[in-house]
Amino acid sequence: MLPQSYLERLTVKAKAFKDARNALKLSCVLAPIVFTCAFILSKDVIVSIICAAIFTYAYLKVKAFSFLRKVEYESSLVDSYAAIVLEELRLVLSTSGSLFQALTFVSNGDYPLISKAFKRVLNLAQEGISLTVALSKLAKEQTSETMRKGLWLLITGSRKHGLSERIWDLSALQSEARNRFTLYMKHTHNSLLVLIPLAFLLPPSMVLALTIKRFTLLILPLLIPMHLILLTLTIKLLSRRVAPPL
Amino acid sequence: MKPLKKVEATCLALSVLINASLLIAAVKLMHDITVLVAFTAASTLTVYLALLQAYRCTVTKRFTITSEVKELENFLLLWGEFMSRGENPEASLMRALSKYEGPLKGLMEDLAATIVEAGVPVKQALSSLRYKLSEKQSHRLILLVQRLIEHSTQRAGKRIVDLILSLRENRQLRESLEQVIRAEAFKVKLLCVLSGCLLAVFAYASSILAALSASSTSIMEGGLSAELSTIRFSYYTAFFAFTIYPPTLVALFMGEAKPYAYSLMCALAYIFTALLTSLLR
Repeated sequence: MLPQSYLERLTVKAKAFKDARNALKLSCVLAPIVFTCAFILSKDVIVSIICAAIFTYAYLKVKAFSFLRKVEYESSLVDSYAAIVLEELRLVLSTSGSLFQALTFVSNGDYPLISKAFKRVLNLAQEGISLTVALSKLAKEQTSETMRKGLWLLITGSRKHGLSERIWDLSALQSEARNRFTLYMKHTHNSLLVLIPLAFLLPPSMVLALTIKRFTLLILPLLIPMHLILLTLTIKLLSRRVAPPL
Repeated sequence: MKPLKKVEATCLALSVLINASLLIAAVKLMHDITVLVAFTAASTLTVYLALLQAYRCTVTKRFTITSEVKELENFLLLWGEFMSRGENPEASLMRALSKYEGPLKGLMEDLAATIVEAGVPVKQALSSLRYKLSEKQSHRLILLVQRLIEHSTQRAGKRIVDLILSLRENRQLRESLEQVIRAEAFKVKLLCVLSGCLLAVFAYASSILAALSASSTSIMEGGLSAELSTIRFSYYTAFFAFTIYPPTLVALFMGEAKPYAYSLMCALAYIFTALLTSLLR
């Protein structure tokens, strides 16, 4: 599940920039190594250049993929806590009437990712930036849909005084996290359907092929790492982390 | 940093086990030891790196819900209900306690005693209760209540009831995932045993085929049986490698607590069938 809205894509791009730079640096180191290995093996410049290019492309693709997974996990984590955090914000805001106090309360709450983000907002506010401006900056950066909506409501609501009860329906706030988790459930079920044949039916059939073709056993030290790499790649492609709704 | 080291050690142990079985199998067939050792070392390194990658990307945990959390939710629901009627936390706690009958009653009576008799503030009493509960989820619930009643009691009561009802809905969702995984785990266990048996039978068949093709001339003579036993041994040890890593990886993907139990099951089925087939004449 990739981020959908334009804003989300923009955020991902901005965050990806740092990761992409690191990945590029590493690939600059790894590509010459692959090139020399391929050159020693094939003794052909063109072939080894193609090998290195393919390797670099695949490496960067895998890095981008794992980065998207990380972003997805973080936004699911924020999603699952969003309902409680927004509830607390609303409660403190309606009793004390101060946005600063509400933010301080949540930032002391030890919520993963959210408390840190709120601390950053408070630091910005202490530097002299208006609290609503700092908060809207945070809302723009959010990849979690629920949190962003809630923060925007908070920003506009704090200006108008008093928030509508109808908008803050708790089960509606949790719906994003629940949808994500239901999707994750289906995904786990389906990916096991792919993984089980690969893990359990491939080895006996490989052994059968070995027997019929009369290969010696010495091919197994080649075959087992290859099977393992195939399994690992499949697991890597299929596995994703989603924070469960609380 | 500590769990990472444990993971690395297990990966290393698994890869050494896999390649040791291959090495034992190949020693009898091949005489050039240096090439063999180099080959095995390269294979071990590859296997180790691949296993490490697999371990690192499967960090999903299973979501278990214990009865402690359920009971705590029940009690907090009562407490929140009385608080939302406008009573103060202490009085509503006493009233909830009179209505509540469950395993946590003793703990909650202690809590009421510390609040009413010793005069400890509710917030402090709750944080001492937090240390008596073992689950992380119940810690979070208590923390939430603690933070909510700091402000308005009546609204906090309402919020607590809303939150717990919402949490219950989420729990149903998680329980359905648990059911899906349990069904899959049964399937995987069955497949572990089956693939272990199948591999042993194939090892038996291929060892006979290899022996036949190696010494088609000496079938009629008595030389076959001695040669056959060594070839069979090397085939059995070689195919043993296949019983080690696939069950562990699948169990890891499912987020099982003990992924090695699956491998152990597969290996035991393999050894048992191998013993049975080697008795065949």
